[in-house]
Amino acid sequence: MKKYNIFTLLVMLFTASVMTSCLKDQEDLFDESASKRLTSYMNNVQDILVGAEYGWALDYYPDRNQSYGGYNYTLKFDRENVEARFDLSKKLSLTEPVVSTYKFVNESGPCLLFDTYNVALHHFATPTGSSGPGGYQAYDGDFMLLILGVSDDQNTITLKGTRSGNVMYMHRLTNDPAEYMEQATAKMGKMFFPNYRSADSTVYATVDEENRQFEVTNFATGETFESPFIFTQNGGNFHTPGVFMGKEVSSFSYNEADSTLTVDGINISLKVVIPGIAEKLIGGSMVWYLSYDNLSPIIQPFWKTAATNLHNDVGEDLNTMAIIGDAVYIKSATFPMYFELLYEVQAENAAQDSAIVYFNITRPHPTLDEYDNAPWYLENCPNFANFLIQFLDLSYLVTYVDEDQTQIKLEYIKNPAVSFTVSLDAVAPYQFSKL
Amino acid sequence: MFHGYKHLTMKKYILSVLPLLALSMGFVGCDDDNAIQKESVITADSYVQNKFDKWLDLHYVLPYNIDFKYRYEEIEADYNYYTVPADINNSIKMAHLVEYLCVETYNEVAGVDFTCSYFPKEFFLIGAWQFRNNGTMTLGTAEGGRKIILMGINELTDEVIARPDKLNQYYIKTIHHEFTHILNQTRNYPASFKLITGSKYVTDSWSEAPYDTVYWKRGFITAYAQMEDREDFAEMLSEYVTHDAEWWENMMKKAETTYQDDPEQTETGRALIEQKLDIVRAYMHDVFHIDIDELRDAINRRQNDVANGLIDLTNIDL
Repeated sequence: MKKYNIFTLLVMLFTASVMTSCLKDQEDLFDESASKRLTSYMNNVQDILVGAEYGWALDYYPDRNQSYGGYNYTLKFDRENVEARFDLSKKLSLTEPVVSTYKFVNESGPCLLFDTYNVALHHFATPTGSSGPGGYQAYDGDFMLLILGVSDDQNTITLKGTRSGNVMYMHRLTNDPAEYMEQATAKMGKMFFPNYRSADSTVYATVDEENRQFEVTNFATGETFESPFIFTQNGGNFHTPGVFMGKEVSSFSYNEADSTLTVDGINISLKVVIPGIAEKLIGGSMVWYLSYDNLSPIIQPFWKTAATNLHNDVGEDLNTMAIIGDAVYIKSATFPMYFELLYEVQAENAAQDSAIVYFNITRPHPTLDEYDNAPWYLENCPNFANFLIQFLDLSYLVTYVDEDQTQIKLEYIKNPAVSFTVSLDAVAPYQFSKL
Repeated sequence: MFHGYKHLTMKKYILSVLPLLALSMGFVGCDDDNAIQKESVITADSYVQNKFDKWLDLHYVLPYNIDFKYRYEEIEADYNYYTVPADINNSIKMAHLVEYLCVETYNEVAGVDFTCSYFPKEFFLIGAWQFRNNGTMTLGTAEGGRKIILMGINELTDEVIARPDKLNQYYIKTIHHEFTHILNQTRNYPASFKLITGSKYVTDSWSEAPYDTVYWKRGFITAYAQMEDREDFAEMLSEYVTHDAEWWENMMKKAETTYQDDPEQTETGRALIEQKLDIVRAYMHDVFHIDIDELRDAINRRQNDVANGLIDLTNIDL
């Protein structure tokens, strides 16, 4: 501090005056820092979410290609938790509402994150050990949603899945969420058959109810329109609206009373095409369950041996066995397996309520049994193949048992004593203790 | 004492004040807004603390400064895997289990100071196992000597809790295994450990035939122990302390032979394992003052308490 000379003083003065000039001219664009603005934004969104009296409806699309279509959720937020309802809850036997926590996070933008497990909300994101849909990549579903914006009237929030990239919308509910879900699912499970046709057979529509995919074709012009959809009170809304037969189309309606479908805006009624018995049995869209009680006495001992083997040697019992399209689907408590069902429709009557179908099983299904579960069971459970005895190189007469066509009887044409009945009602293959 | 100040005449005083004045003018020219703000510029995850969060403050944060994270965080999870958050009720049970079976065990056997010094400071819970496209899955990982990621929390059923072998297989043994790595990272084990079965480690082939079945004969406690010596050490200790003496002796009897496809093996699997165990025992005793038999007894006693339903795993009253 002792030796200040004039030169040093001048340098210090100069530096001091120069130092001020750069900073002074910069104007702040915003009043607050970016992180502060983000926090206020997220707080604001939370206020809006919590403030909705009935909560919100979320039109949710898993999978970056929307291969499974759209699903209805309702979300009721309080400061700590969210209560969710889901349009698959009945199918999955979930107790509603399903409650879990949520929070807001900054992941390259303000995100809503459902951060503890919710069996409804995380359904499409939950992985399993297999490959394919629902396997190690789950259904490519999101549970962290980027908030793209809130509408001016605060009734619509636009979100984007951070994994799938799908844009999704949340709408403020104007009625009770349970009531809303009843309405939104009114047409679910009502479209029993996938194909619909206009009276003059020029326009055909196909609705894949399981995967929520819609397709309509005008065979007179070759024009076609397809889109994933989400169920609504009247039918469904398309994920990607478009143009068909000169009109802008964004939804379809379904009338279950007469099984007719219309693309909204196009005045052509499409009536359901009811498949014949053979196609119903093995056409792929329906699941026909097998059970011990529905086997004729000649077949039952084979199942009993197989089930005993499975129980004693492997420690498992089957809980599902069904025909689904070109496969016999078997599931123990833990592992599903598929065997390829080869079939040939050898004859069908004019009324299409009776047919002769040949069946054979030669191997585990090449594409569905991806994890070699079927070969494992064949190898490790010596009598396991006995479950499949009724499908081995035999022709059956197939007929409906009931008027509702929910049960089909199959009788071996060379010996009617060999027979079994399959049904659309899900039943367990057997109760081991009762065999 | 104040010698220097006596010589400061008025003239010199002004001259020395001038640069200070100039400098201060320079700083006064800055906007007040550019001063350092009190508020953080880091956006923290925003949520309201619930009862479980407060229970965790009381049982993990305050006594041990352990962050028991059960809420999903993107940054903690591995983006390459599809996974889901942990179920909150299972997380509560896991928090109780880790406290009773791990934290309090080490308190009992090695003292609270040991736990505070060495036990992982962070747990992160994930709901699903990490599934790979080849059908295998990860149970848990340890990172940086301070964090353990536990997976598959949503599979923690009451059936699993009632069976110590299952509970260990999927969760608790993983913690003891990863904790051993953490201890090793603090103080490494003697080089002599590796020499006992030095030529027999097989890295990634551990899960393939024949190594997936012949490990005891070869002198390894588990198949995974054959990967490399660090995993061998962690498997030795964690398997020893999570099983009882009877199990160990039965296993050792099965190891009382050599592996026939290795003509150079002169000692039985049992002999090799026992030699390695001696080093593990000495290491734990000399470095951390832990008697591994005492540790084993405490763990087994506590495991049985849990299996017998004696421990309340759901109470989060404060």
